[in-house]
Amino acid sequence: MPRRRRPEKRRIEPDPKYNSVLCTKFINSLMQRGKRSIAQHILYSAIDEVAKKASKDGYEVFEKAIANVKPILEVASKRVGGATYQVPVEVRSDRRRTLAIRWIINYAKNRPERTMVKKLAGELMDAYNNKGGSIKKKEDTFKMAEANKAYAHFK
Amino acid sequence: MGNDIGTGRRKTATARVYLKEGSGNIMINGRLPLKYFGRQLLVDDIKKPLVVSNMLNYFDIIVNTKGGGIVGQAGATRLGIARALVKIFPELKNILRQEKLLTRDPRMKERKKYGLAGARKAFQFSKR
Repeated sequence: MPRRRRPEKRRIEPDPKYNSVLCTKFINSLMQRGKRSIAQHILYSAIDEVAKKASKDGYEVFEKAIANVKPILEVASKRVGGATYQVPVEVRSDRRRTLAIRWIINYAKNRPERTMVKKLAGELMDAYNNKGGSIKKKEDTFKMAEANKAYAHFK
Repeated sequence: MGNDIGTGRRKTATARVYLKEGSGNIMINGRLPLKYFGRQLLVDDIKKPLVVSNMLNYFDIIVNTKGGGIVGQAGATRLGIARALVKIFPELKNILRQEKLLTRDPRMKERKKYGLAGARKAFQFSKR
């Protein structure tokens, strides 16, 4: 942790295929052990597959899927006078994107399809149609926040 | 037109680039770019200075590259091509600079330190 000011956000290069920072972020999150070209292959093939299935522009489906998974509210633990409360808070836009990417990847991993490309394509398709594991996670998070509305003033 | 040489480096890779008037053929260590790098994305990457300056089909390019891995070699080649282009057409300097094609990427492997397992990683802690 820096002592003086908040650290500057690192700026990342847009990805080479769609020229999009969102894609780079996604690839970086998907990447394991520095294997970038494998992560790129998985994402790009999944987008192609989604394009075929939806017969729409694959990148637009991808963008929409991420947008659909972005949460609005979540809960944060806050200790006030010995008791811990689950305080609902609004999610910052950067964190929204990060969470959406993380959820999509994690729920894709739990899908029954055999290859990561197919899993990711399936999860993106579901998210695009507002269903599937990652969408459910977003709704659960929102419900948690709703249920703890009473503590909202602790923020 | 004209011929010229550019040298580029990235990470621990070095590339010597020879630009010759021609029709857009590129050879890297005696092989075609896609054959040498094996990844289309890297081939597109080295062509970037040519694409930006609209010179794609006016030069034959011969590259000798040594050291590092293929990504580093591709980056070194890209810088070499950009520098050679500037030698022939100084007026391209601004366009290429805007695209950061003339900037030597200064990120290098950080050295391993004594007392540590790697550059930053500490040895496993054992209380006794």
